[in-house]
Amino acid sequence: MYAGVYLHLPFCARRCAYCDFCTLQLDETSLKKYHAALKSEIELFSDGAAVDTLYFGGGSPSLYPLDLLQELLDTLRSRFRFELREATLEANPWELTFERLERWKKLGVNRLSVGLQSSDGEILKTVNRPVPPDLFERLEMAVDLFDNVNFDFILGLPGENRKNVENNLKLIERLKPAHISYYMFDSDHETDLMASVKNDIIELPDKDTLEKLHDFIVLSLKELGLTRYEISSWSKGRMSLHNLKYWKSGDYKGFGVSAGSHEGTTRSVNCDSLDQYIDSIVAGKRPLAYIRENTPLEELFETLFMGLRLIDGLTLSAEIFPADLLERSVERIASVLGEFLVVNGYRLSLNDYGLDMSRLVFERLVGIMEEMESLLPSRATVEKQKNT
Amino acid sequence: MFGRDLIRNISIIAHIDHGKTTLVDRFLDITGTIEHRRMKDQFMDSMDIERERGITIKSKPVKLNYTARNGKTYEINIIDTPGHVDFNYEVSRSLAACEGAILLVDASQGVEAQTVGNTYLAIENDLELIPVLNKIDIPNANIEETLAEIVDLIGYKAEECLLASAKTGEGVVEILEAVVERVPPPSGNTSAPLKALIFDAIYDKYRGVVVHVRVFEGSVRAGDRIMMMSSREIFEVIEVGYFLPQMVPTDSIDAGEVGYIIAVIKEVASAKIGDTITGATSSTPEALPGYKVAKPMVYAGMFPGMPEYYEELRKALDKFKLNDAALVFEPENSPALGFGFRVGFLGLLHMDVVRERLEREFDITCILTAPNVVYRVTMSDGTVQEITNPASFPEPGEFAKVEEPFVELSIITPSDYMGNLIGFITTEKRGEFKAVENAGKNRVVMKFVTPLSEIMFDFFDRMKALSRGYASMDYDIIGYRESNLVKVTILVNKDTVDSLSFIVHVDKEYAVAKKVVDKLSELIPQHQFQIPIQARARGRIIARSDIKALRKDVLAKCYGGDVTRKMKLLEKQKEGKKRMREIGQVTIPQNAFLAILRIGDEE
Ligand SMILES: Nc1nc2c(ncn2[C@@H]2O[C@H](COP(=O)(O)OP(=O)(O)O)[C@@H](O)[C@H]2O)c(=O)[nH]1
Ligand code: SF4
Ligand SMILES: [Mg+2]
Repeated sequence: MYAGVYLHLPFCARRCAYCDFCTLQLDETSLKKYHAALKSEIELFSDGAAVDTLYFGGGSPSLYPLDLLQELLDTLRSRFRFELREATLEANPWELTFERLERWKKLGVNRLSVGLQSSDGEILKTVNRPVPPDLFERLEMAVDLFDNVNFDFILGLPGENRKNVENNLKLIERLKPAHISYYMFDSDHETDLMASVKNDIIELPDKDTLEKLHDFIVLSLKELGLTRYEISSWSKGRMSLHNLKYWKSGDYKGFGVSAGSHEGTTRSVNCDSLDQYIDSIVAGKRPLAYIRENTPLEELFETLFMGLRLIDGLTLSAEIFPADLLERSVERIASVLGEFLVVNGYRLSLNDYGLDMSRLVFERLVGIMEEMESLLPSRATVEKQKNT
Repeated sequence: MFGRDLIRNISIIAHIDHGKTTLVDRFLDITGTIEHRRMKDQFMDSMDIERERGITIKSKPVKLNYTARNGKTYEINIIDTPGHVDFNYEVSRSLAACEGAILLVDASQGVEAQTVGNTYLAIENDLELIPVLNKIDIPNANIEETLAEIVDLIGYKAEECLLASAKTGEGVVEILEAVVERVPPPSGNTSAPLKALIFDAIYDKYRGVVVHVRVFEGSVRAGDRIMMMSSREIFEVIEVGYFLPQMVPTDSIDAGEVGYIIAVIKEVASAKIGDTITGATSSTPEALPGYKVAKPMVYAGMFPGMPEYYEELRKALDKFKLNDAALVFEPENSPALGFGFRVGFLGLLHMDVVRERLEREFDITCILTAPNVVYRVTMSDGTVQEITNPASFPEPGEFAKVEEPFVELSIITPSDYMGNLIGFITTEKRGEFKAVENAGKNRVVMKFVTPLSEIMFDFFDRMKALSRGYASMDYDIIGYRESNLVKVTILVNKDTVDSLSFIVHVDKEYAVAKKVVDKLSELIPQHQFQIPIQARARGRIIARSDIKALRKDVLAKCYGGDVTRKMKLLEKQKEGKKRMREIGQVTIPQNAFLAILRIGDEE
């Protein structure tokens, strides 16, 4: 079994109004410090596993100086057994220049994920993410040089309407990227944009319009020959191998601030704060926000939580989970969430209604997990019993 | 410790935000009562919620030792008073313990309604008043006009007023000098039997009941046996002391002084505010006059966030009451919300403060229903009922008449906005215009009579908006008057939700019902099915609004590596729903129960 590696490169040129990722203003000094710490983290805490997918996420990895990117790759190669099938780099349109594209390729990057969000200049200006005037040419160049390119879109930014969604789809039609991620705008986080919305400075599009547009997008992408294989992902035969590791609860190791890892049944997440991160590394400690060995119940629900995002759903393996837990969970889930699911033995997937209502489904899933957890003997009691 | 000649007991009265708390901070500063480096701003506002909101809720006493220009050192006891009209009764308590008061007026704002109200309270209590214009450091301070207003509204001479800035400290020493010179020392005989006024009593987790007293005659010390004159209950004193402003024990508190008594008192109920304490063996023949106990003016239902937490809520309210004699509550059983309480508050701010403190200090989430006044209903058979819950308001035909509390409302405003305000109050608020008088140069004081319920909702903000923020208000309850009122019931998804019922004047029945159902359809989240919201009055449906079915609810982006974060977020949102209630098949969030308070938001 191969693992995946994720590297978080948190620097951005400016902050998009809808962003709540861990990102920082790009400046020489913090970049240098971060880079050194990141290299140390890889050197100190790698286990030499075989790795077949690599993902540079951010932040804006496309801004990361190329020589430093090279160093990171060298460090990774010295610590892991690299047999890369896929190496993705997230890129902003501004950095899609011929030189950079060529250099990334030489470094071994074979997949680009372009953060487009919208093709509409006005919308992007509103969210503090202006695009270069020659956007189309840049994207064209990217698709020419890389045969595996993803475009990221967000549905529901302020100013969204039928016209600009049509334009997004036209862009897809003309450039034929291998992969599309079309996300619903997330109003749940405290972002600059949401602050403006709360203060009545900016208005979000109304729900009705968005519901119709979502249907329209799902239909149109299908007509363009893109297959929906996950709630917000479409592809032409080239699914994201790295993301599939997340959705299938595979093993992956994250490096950098706020990066998460899943190894076996252990889940851990690095801290959010750059200072804390650097301090930990300097002290030779893992920069963890937390680490925990999942209980079978937690592992089961996390597996469901990720796996149900896939259109094909998932099969809960009787080899991994205790039989009685499996039985009770599936029974409970089927009875509470029956209208949203196709349940076939231990194979579960969302039906069309479930896909439309996925947020609700996942929220209830968390509820079921808590409810079942409260019925179990507490962790402490279990440990005690083990010891006696 | 001090000769009585060297004692001064004063209060500071003013409109909210005119600078009382800041002035006391300066006093503490000047007299070195609190070491400077330990001093936080707004030292007197010690409850978290007071600091955050910048308001004073509970009166607090503090004792200063001030060495005056005449070389003598005086003991000055100051009772900081709250400025919000909800807490007026706290002001009258404090005044009863003093011989003088500083009347503080913000020179950039001028005299405001409550300044006048509180001044009359002080005059009734025979206090020596020292008018002070504060904030003279502000460039747009208008000293002359403010002086003219004090002369017109309160009848002081301009020469009697002091000028100061509590912020910079300018003129603050002069205030202390004036206190020493103008306020009479307390009278009273130290060797007479004990006679002390309870002006507050708080429950301290570690020390039990702490009684705040002003000693008028005699003295009290540890070991004494004291008697509460109203109940004749006897207690043994464990400790007496002063407020500096933290409690510092002393040998005895003597006639004229302000301090605290800790005795073996189990319940705050035993130390009634306004009661007189005397000695158990040698008693004073006559109690002090005391003062009226604050009566709750508004009632609201209070329910635990989740039904299981009823007991916790009861315990929290019990504890809370120990420090807040103004709070009353009794069990209520609502078909929609289950077991909870009907709670009486002094006003809306009081209600807000209680809710917030319950949540903060007792870690309890609760659902509050829209507040209402107390209605007096004469039933067809002649019996009279006090209705504190709209749900139990009788149907037409069952009663002969309904009365509701009315207030005399005073509004002080620049004369430019007079027309606006009169129009608003008389046409929208069922107010009756009574009188107008000049107050200083360009200001007037207007009097209205209106139902209390009309100034509770959607009043203050509108008044401010109509006067560009300049108008201020004060009111006094003047009694019950008959009104033509109806009960409006709300149905959610065809089920009656009793906790959403409200009482309204017939003339406004349709308009208010429509606004409420519209607001509810905004506040109740979409469900998988369509939900009709209807208002019913006198047997007919009078308004309706529908919440559309939720067709789509798609999960947003989630960075794959950190599933925990997304799960946590969903968990948090679910947690938010703890403050929601499942009624029929519909989940109703807490703020929907207060919809009627928010129907003015869009206007
Ligand atoms: N410029 C100025 N501001 C003041 C002065 N006195 C008080 N303030 C400010 O006015 C506000 C209200 O003061 P506070 O003492 O809380 O008023 P209270 O509500 O009467 O207790 C605070 O922001 C103070 O900093 C003053 O003399 N000058
Ligand atoms: S580029 Fe991405 S990470 Fe950076 S601010 Fe914008 S959304 Fe956030
Ligand atoms: Mg104050």
